[in-house]
Amino acid sequence: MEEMELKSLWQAYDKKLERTLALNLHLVREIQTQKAKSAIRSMRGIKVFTLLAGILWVLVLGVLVFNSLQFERIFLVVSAGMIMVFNIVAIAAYIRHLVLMSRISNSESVVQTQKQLAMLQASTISVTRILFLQAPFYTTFWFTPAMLGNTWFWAVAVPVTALFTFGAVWMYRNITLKNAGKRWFRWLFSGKEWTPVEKARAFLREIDEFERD
Amino acid sequence: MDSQQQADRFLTVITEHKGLIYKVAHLYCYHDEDRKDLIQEIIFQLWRSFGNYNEQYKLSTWLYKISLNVAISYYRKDKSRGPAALPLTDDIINLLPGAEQDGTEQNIRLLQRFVNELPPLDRALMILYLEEKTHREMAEILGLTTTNIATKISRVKEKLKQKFSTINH
Repeated sequence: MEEMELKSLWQAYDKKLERTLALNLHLVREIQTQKAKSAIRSMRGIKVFTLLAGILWVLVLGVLVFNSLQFERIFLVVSAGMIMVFNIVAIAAYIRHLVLMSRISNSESVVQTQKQLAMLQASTISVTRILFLQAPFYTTFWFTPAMLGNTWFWAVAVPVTALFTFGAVWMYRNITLKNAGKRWFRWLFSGKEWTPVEKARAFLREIDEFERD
Repeated sequence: MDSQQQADRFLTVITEHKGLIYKVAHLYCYHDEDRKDLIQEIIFQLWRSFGNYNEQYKLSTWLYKISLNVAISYYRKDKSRGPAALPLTDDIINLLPGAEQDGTEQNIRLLQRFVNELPPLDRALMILYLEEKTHREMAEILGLTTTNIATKISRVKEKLKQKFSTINH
């Protein structure tokens, strides 16, 4: 199959399409009035749902904090407050992420657009790592000032919290794109939600090779 | 241009370039149902960007950039998508009956299959090559240098030739 043959084959295909392709103008008009929604665009509903669920959780925590403002519940207030703060930061990062995604223009060059998209998809990692920082506060909300004098509190509860703190900080520092290929990372995040991140990383490598050749 | 004029102009553009949209969609999406969605998405994205189209640039360059970007993004998406919010029962662009009776049909199908087996970016390059775009236009659409384009084309072409030769022997 020589070069001219490839092109003449393609031209034959082109001519055939010219003769036989029919455009449904009614459907194009529906798209213009945005009546027709594709499956791809309906995916945005999932993102909005995630966002609303996050906001609802923050509101619940807010109500809990507000209704617990007394000295005996100081640990609950601080814990719920901190969890709230980390969730607000994660929601803000998620919104920023969605805004950046929607701003990517398809009318830029293929390499530029695809690189931006893949980089943003891969960076969803940053939202998750923020959420890890709330973990220690789930171990402290049930503490009370009265417990401070108990030996078991210092012998069991505090070490557990310290362990969670160490784990959360370690996760925050190590959940990075650089580590995404490591075995522990893949073992920890082998879920459906991480497949796009992994795919995005692979595609970024593919784009690099494509540009380099 | 008022909104009605813009809508009419868009219909003309889509009518004139329906082949381009169909070919891109066909090379990134082999299944009929998915392809219907992809064609719809390409047309939607073209319509969304149509108001910002700068007439200084070639229309086909703009069309290729958007169609290829949407098709590649679609290709990379997880296949397990939910049903369409308002499913379309008809295809926007479809082949009329009698389209499959050409003598070269088998070779065309082979060419489509082989291009379809290429990685997504090589596939974009090959479509542009087969559509006889200049190296400069290809470089602009893909975001590569013209030298890079020339090197890559010969490499991908060689891959296609090899695939054809394995079938012929």
